Order: sequence, then structure tokens, then C-alpha cells
Amino acid sequence: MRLSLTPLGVLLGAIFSTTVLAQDSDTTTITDYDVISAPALSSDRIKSEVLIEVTIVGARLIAVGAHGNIIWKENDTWEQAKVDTSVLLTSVAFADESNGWATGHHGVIIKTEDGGKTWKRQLDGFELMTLEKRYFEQRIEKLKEQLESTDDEDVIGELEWQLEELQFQISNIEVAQEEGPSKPFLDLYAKDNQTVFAIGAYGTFLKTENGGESWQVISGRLENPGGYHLNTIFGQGDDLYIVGEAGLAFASHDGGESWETLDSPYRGSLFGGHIDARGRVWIYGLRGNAFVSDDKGQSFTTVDTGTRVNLSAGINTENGTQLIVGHSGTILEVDENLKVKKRTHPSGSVMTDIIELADGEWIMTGRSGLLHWPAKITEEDALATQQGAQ
Amino acid sequence: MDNPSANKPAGVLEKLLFTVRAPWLIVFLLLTLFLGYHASQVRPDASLSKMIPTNHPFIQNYFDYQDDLASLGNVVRVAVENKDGDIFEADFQRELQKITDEIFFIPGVNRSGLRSLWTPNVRWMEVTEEGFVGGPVIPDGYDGSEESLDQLRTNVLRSGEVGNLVANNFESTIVYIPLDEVNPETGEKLDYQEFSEKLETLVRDKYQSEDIEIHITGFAKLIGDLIEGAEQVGLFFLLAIAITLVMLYFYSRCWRSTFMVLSCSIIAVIWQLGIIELIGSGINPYSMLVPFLVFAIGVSHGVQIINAIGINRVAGLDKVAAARTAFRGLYIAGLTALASDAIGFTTLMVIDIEVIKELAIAASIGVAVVVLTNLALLPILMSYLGTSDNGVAYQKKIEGERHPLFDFFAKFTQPKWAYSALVVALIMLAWGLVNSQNMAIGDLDKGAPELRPDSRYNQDNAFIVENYSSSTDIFVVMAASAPEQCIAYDNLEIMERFSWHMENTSGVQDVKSVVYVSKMGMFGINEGNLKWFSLNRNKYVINASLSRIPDGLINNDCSMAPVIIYLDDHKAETLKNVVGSVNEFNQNYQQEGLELLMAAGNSGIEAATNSVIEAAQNKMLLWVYGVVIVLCFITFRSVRTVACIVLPLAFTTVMSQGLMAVLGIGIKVATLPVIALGVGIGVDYGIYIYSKVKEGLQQGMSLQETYKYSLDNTGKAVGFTGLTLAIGVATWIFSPIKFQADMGILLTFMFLWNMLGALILIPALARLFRVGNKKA
Repeated sequence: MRLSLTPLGVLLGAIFSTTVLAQDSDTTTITDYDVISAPALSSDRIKSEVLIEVTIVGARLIAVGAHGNIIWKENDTWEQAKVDTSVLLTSVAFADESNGWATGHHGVIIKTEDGGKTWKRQLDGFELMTLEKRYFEQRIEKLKEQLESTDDEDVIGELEWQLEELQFQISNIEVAQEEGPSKPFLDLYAKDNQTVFAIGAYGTFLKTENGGESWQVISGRLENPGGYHLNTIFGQGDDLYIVGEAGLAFASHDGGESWETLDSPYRGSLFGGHIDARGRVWIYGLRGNAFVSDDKGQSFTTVDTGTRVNLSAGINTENGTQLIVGHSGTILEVDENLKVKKRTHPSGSVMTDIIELADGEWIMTGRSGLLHWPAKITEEDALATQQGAQ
Repeated sequence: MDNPSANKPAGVLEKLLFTVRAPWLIVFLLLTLFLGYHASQVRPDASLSKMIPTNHPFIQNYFDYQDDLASLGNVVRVAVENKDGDIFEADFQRELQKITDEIFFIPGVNRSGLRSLWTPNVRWMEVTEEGFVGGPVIPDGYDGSEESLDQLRTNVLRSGEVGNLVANNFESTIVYIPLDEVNPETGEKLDYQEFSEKLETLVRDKYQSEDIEIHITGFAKLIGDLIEGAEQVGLFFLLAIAITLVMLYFYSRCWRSTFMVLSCSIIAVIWQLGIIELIGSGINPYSMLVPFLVFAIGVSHGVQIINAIGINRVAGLDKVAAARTAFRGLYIAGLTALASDAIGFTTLMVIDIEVIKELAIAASIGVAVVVLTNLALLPILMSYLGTSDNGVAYQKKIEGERHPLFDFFAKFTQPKWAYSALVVALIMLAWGLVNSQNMAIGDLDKGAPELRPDSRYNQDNAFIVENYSSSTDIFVVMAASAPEQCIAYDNLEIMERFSWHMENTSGVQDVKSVVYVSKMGMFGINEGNLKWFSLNRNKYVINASLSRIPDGLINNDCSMAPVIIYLDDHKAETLKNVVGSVNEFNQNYQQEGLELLMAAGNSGIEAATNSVIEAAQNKMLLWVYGVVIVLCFITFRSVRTVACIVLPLAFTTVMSQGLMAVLGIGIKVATLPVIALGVGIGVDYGIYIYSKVKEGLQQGMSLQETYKYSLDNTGKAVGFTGLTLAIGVATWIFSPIKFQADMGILLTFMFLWNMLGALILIPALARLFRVGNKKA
């Protein structure tokens, strides 16, 4: 038998061959990326990434957060919603089991009509700038009319000052139109499936009366000449409240048509507020400051929280206590007599929202994503603990 | 015994060497002195750039930004652990303060970047109605009292350093030491070894006690440990010499021959070291193997010379004639074998990694030197000294005796034994093939793969990984833009998308970059309201958010910002996945003005190395086997013969691949050359045995007679060569450097296995292919 070189070569080749990993090239190239219009990436890490708010809609839980992330859960597992933006989402609210809105950075508002599974942009910062410019122009028109119809020196002085201010706002918008939108929405309130309010940075205040098909600027309804940030809006029936930067606090008792400026109990920023089962108004913010009013905001009582951390959000629970969450894993449980019991989540993380489930379990959102109380020792919590520490 | 070489006429080379012997000795002496001086100048060199594939695009990109990335990577962490208690104890803090002060004054430390609880740059911060308030974590007027320790605890908690400077369990704290690659005062380059030693003596030795344990990690420490470990290898060389000495005497029973072989082999090593110093190529932890190989190859050829001289003396020749005849009989076979070694080594040059090239050059030079020292100098020396009477007597005694093992090996020419051996070999081959499928590229162990998993460094590293929130496997992607554009909004936004894309890649733990700093800055300047944890389009807002940007996250002219990707591990599969994911992103997003370039960081460099190695491994095998096949074919002019010689080698190669998979040794810079070395040297056995088989067949013997004849002439030398080579490299198994140990294990295995393969499989395959079947 003569062995030729060929089988030897084949043998050697077979022995030493290794597989080469194939790369799929099924792609479309994006050359003009914009976070506003980029669909959220699919991810299985959302539960441990920044989440800002969580809400209960019927039998469904829905949480929103960074990178356009929205997750929902009906049974056991969280699933990712389809979202056509990648901005940081700052707030979520539902009018009924199908219709809901979420606000975000870069002036984005998105809407769902299927209970949170798919979301579409209704507004973005570019459109917001156009709306605001038109709004300011209309106000200038009105001011000019008023100027022509008055002879009172003082009134003229005041109107001229306002005019100047509005023109300054318009030139600001013109500059911003070059650069692109930079104002985030910070919160929203869905009164019903047609009427929704959205608030945000630098006094941004919007309203829709047609379920978001068109939005109108209503920032003039608030007395906010400094253009401070509006941090949260909440309400019950026709009573609505807005709190914000530097102790700003407003109330409306006619469903948001007219607003009064409340005598704020605090000059630091207020980040959150809610109304409890007894109709008391709770507001809270920087450095552990929390206040409660049982006369619809006319007067406030200071709550001795015993903490100096920022407080972000709160809820009324079934047993009549109030839960308020904040930085450093802080969960405050305030009873009927304003006695505060402080708990600390082991993650020590920044928390931004809380809900109570039927079985008494609490779910929080924040810097480390979803957190549970009683603290579940799960892999995701262990990871959250690590990230919280960072 | 019949001695055909004595009857051959003297060749030109022989006349040249032996007509005037004394001048040659002087020439050799002078050369040895000259090269010896240069050899003494050789210093171990563990420079990073030689261990990486410098022409790979990843590495080219890395080199482009090497200076900008220096402050990012060149950091040493000293973790000070309180063994019974937490860090909030007065005694512990006092020691920590002393350690911090001590480190502050070590040359090479970037003093302004030094961070510990006791440096003023570690601060806590809080948002109040008036804005930010803050201060150093060590409270003003700290006096070690309970109150000030409580204050310290509060400050630490609000400093955000838990997980960074302070362990998650509060039982240890880190002194974070950025290093200056070049001393800004003297302009001198940092001496890693000296720095590492200073840390040992001034920190670990001085402050480690019953209560306090010191853990040190960082690139500078690793390099220091590596060089220190490499120096220990010198001792192994002495050990290898001692063992060889004993074996040589046992083999020859002649002290003169023993010492002459050893001396000539050591001279070969001296020359080899001297020459590589002269050509400006240093010795690195990989090419340190070469002196061992050169020594062993020198000894194995020297043995043949003294063996032949001994036989000639028994035959009655005088000292000079015995040496001349030995030279005449061996120089062609020796030159052929050495040439095949040298050519085998040079095939390593196809691997584009400097240390492997240096190893290839050093090994080729070493083999060339062995030709001069052990084929020329040794017989000249022996022509003066001659074999001792004791040696001649022993030679006489064993002549005519056949070692029982030879009868055993000769059985493999019989069909029953041959086919049984082949079946066993096939079964083993199957084992090897199955296991070699699991053979992985790259390093497989946790921590620093250069050192053993249980080394002090890796234990320290494991301690820090376990107690702090940081991975040590770092893959850096460089986001390159035009100058001043690194923090332009559009670029940051793409980097943000990229970071999130990478965070969703399996094997990625975390991603950090200037984007994260900006988002944290937004969170901070907006009073700690997480709803602002986002990039902003406004450039003034971006600038404000980046007012406190850590070192290294953007370069000086703001044309590059590294995206740091922390990985679960540095397995080849993980790295490949990460590289694939970066490529995918780059395909999907192409934004003008920003390029995402791979790769820096230890894992980025390893990814490049892995890809070069993966591409090179088949190329190298093809080359080395190609060369061996051609050489054998030229020598023997028969495909069947080539198959008889090469198949046992291929068998060994597959078996060692299986062994690598089973032992968890990956294909890496250290182990890739081993296969070429194993094949290059392993083929010698086959050539020796088969050249005698050819002689026997030409004389008309049967296969079995032929093989016995061959073993009588070469069996002893083959066995001895296999053992000396194996011993030379086996000492490496005890090296503190993991890859040297891996090389030692594999080479020892290959040298022994090649020997057995040659002795058993060559006769068995010869039977299978019916070589010389006329009579058998």
C-alpha cells in the first residue's frame, strides 16, 4: 500500500481545524442617531437599570426608566414594552386600563392605548419648542393689545417688563432650536382619558384635552416668574397640586383651570406629593423635609421624619399609614399620629417610587431598578446592592 | 562492532578543525570570554509591548492613545484589612494613616492622585437648601474618640466610597495609588520591580500584623512579581545542570566526558545569551525557556559524541583518532538534526508577537551555537583529554549486551504487537481528538493569568474583587473624535447608546465612561433628583455636569474618551462575544465625527492576542509540519517513511492538545510555541531511528532485524536525549509563573511522548505500511 500525501494532508487538516464563528450581517446602518426617535433597545437588564416610576393598572404593574425602558408584569415575569424612544422616562400615569402616558427628557411624551405594551410618541422637544414659541407670541400679542388700551403708567411699566420677559423667552427658544430640545418633563397627571397635564423643567406646563392629539402650553396659569422646575403634579377629583423647586407649591380646585400659589412651608425643593385616604395632602423633598395639610394646602404641619435624606415619592396604604421613599434606601412609614418608623432597604440605593401590592409587598423603583420589601434575596437584588453601593 | 565511519575519508571540515587544534581552542576561549561578558549584561525584560501583537489593529489603536490611557490603567491598590473588626477603630485608623503617609513618599506615586480615607481629596458631599456642602471624610478635629469615629462612619456612608475605597463589608479600605510612568521631577522611567519591592518592604512587611492584613494588586505589582518569579528560574537552571550531571555520569561512567559535555553545553548557553544581547534582543519570561532547551539539545548531541569516542577507544584508536573519527561519523547526522530543529523554530516567526519571535530567534541561534560547541569544540577538547580508563572499561563491558528494553521495543515490528499498538494508539488518538475539541484559546483562570491561581498576587486580587465593586477584567473602547469634541452632545449620546448596547451583551458586568460622569453630575446639580439622570443637549449644562471629571476619562485635547467595559471574566469566548458586539454596534451606528475604536485594557489586549493566536495556530502547525515533512522527504525519499515518522508526531500533538483541554491550559502566547518546539525536536528521534533502519534495510535485513540493529545503534541515545530534554524543561513545572509551568508540563509531556511514540509507533507503522516486507 502506498500512502499518498493527500489523505495525510486531509487528516492533518481535520485534526487541527477549528471552527470560525460566523457573524450575522443582517443590519441597517443609522447615521443620524437621535435619542428621541431611537426605539428602546431590547434588554433583559431593565430590572436592575435606573427605573423612575412604577404604577398599578388593573392587574398589571408598569415601570418606566432609563433608555426608554418600560416593563410590565401581569403574572410572574416582567416583559419589555415596545417603545419608540430611548430618552429617560420620568413619569407614568394611566387614565384607565388601556390609556396611559409617560413623560421623558428632551420634551418627549409617549402614549399607550393597549395598557402599556406598546408606546408611541405624541410630542417631542422640537414640537414643544414650536408650541412654546407660538404661546409666547400669542401672549405678546395680548400684552400689546393691553398696552394700547391702557394709560396707567404703572400698568404700562409692568406690562412692558412682562413683554421684555416674553421676548427674552422667545429668543431663548430660538437659541435652543439651534441646539435641540433640552427641557425634560418631570411628571404628569391623567385626569381622564382625554385630559392630561404634564409639567417639567423651567416651569414647563402642558395640557391636552383630546387624549394627547394636541397639547397646549398653560405655564402662564402658574405664578412662577423665576421659571423654577415643577417637580410633581398629583390630585383627586378637581383638586390638583403641583410642587417644585425652591418650595414652589400650587393648588387648583377646579380641575386645573385656575391655580393659586400656596403658602409654602419650605423654601427648599419639593420632589413629591400625594393625597391620602382621608384627603390630606402630603408633600416632601430635600433633606428629609415632609409636610401634611388637612385643609387642601391652606396650612401645613411639619412631619418629624428623623432623616436628612431626600424624599422622592409616597403612597397611602390600605392600613392607613403613609409610605415615603427616598435616598439611601430610606422607607418611612408614617402612621395616623404622624409617628415615623424608618426602614432601610439593604441596597442603600436612591429610590424614586413605591407601590403596595395586594399581598402587602412593596415594590420600589430607583437607581438600582426594581427593589422589593420585604427585601427578596434574589440575584437581581444582590446585583442591585452592588450597583447601589457604587 | 562494525564502524563504517572510520573507513570514510576525512572531510574538509574535519581537516579544518583537527589539523590545527590549538588555535581553535584559543578562538573558542576568546569568543566565550567576549560573549560571556555580554551574556552577563542580559537582564530579564517583561515589557508589555513585547507580549502583545503590535501589528493588530486593536493594539495599533491602543498605541495611538497609550499616553492618554496611562493614568487610567496604571494604578496600584493596597487594601488594608482589619482582621478582627471593622475599619472604624482608632488603632486601625492610626495604622491606615501611617500607611498612607508611607506610600505618599514612595517614588513613582502620583501624589495628587493618591486616595485613601486619610487624603484630603476623599470627600463627602450633600445637597442642602443652600447648595452643596461637604468636607473630607476624616472629620475636622479627629481624635480617635467614639464620636469622631461615628462621624467618620457617617461621612464614609455619604461619600459614595463604599465599594470603591471602602469594602462593602467595612472590614477593609483601599489606598488607591495612581503611578507616574515617567517621574515628573527626574524624567526617569518608573522601575516596576523597584516600586513593587518598596511596597513589599515599606508597606506589607512593616504593617502586616496579627490584626492587619495587606493586599496589593495592580499592573506594576504584577510586573514586579513576574520579574521576581522569572529570576527564580535561574535556580531551576542549576537544578537541571545537577540532574544532567548525574545522568551523564551514569551513562558514561567517565567524569572527564561528563564535565566536557556539561561545559560545552553551558558554553552554548553563554554564547546564545551573549549573542541575543549583542543583537539587542533581550530575554523575556518566555524566551527564558531557550537556555534550557539549548542546554538539553547540547547535552543530547554531546552524548552521541562521547559515546562514539568511547566506542572508538574500545576499538583501539588513540585519543585524537577517536575524536576525529567520532566527528567524521556524526557531523552530518548531527547537522541535519540540528538544521531541522532550527528550521522548526523559525516557523514560529509566523506568529506576530514579539516575545514569540524573540523566542524563535533565540532558539535558532542557540541551535546554531550547539553545532559549534558540541559538534566541533567538544571533539577537539576530547582529543586532548580522552575518555578515562573507567569510561573505556564500562563501554567495553556493555558492548555486545543488548538492553532488555530494546527486545521489548523490537517486538513492535511483529504484526500482533504492531496492530495492538496501533489500536491502542487509535483509541488514545480518539481520546485526544474528543478532548482537544474543548481546547480553549486564551487564559482560563481568574485573576492575573500570568501567575498561579494560588499566588499571593491572585489571592490579593480575589480579595479585592470579592469585597469591592470592581472587576479586574477590563475592555476599553476608545471613542475618538475631533479635538475639543469628545464631550459634544451628539458624541456623548452615541456613547450612551453604545454603553447600553454593551451592558446588554452577555459577559459584560458594567460600563463606565464620561457619559456616566455627566449623568451623575446632572443628578448632583439637580439636587439629587434621579429624574435628571440623563444627558442634556445644552453644552453649558454638559460642562457643568462634568466639572469634577476623574482622571483619564477624557484626554488632554478632548479628542478621545475611553468607554470602560467591565467583564465577568477573560475567557476567550467572553472576549469574542464582546468584540462581536462592538463590531455589531459599529455596523449599525455610523455617526460622523465619532469612531468607537477597539481596544485597550487588559481584556482588550487579550482579545487581540487571542485573535492573532487563533489565526496563527493552524498556520504554525501547517508550517512546522510542512517543514518536517519536506525535510524527511528529502532525507528518505519515501512517502511511507515520511508517514512513519510524521504520524507519531501528529499523534503526540493531538494528545498534548487533549491534555491541554483536560488540564485547563489554553492556547496562548506561552503554549502556542510549545507545539512547534515539540514537533521540531521530536522529529530528531524519528530521523535517527529511521536512518539506521534505512541502513539495515539496505543491508537486506528483515524488518525486525533492521529495527534491532537500529535500536542497538541509536536506542540508547534516543532514550537519553528524551530524558535529558524532559528533565531540562520539567524543572519549569515548579515556576511561580503560571505560563512557564504550563510550558514545562507540555514540553515534558511532548518530549517523553515523542520518544515513546518514535520507539513504539515507528516499528508498528513500518509494519502496517509494509516497509521492507521482502523477508518479514
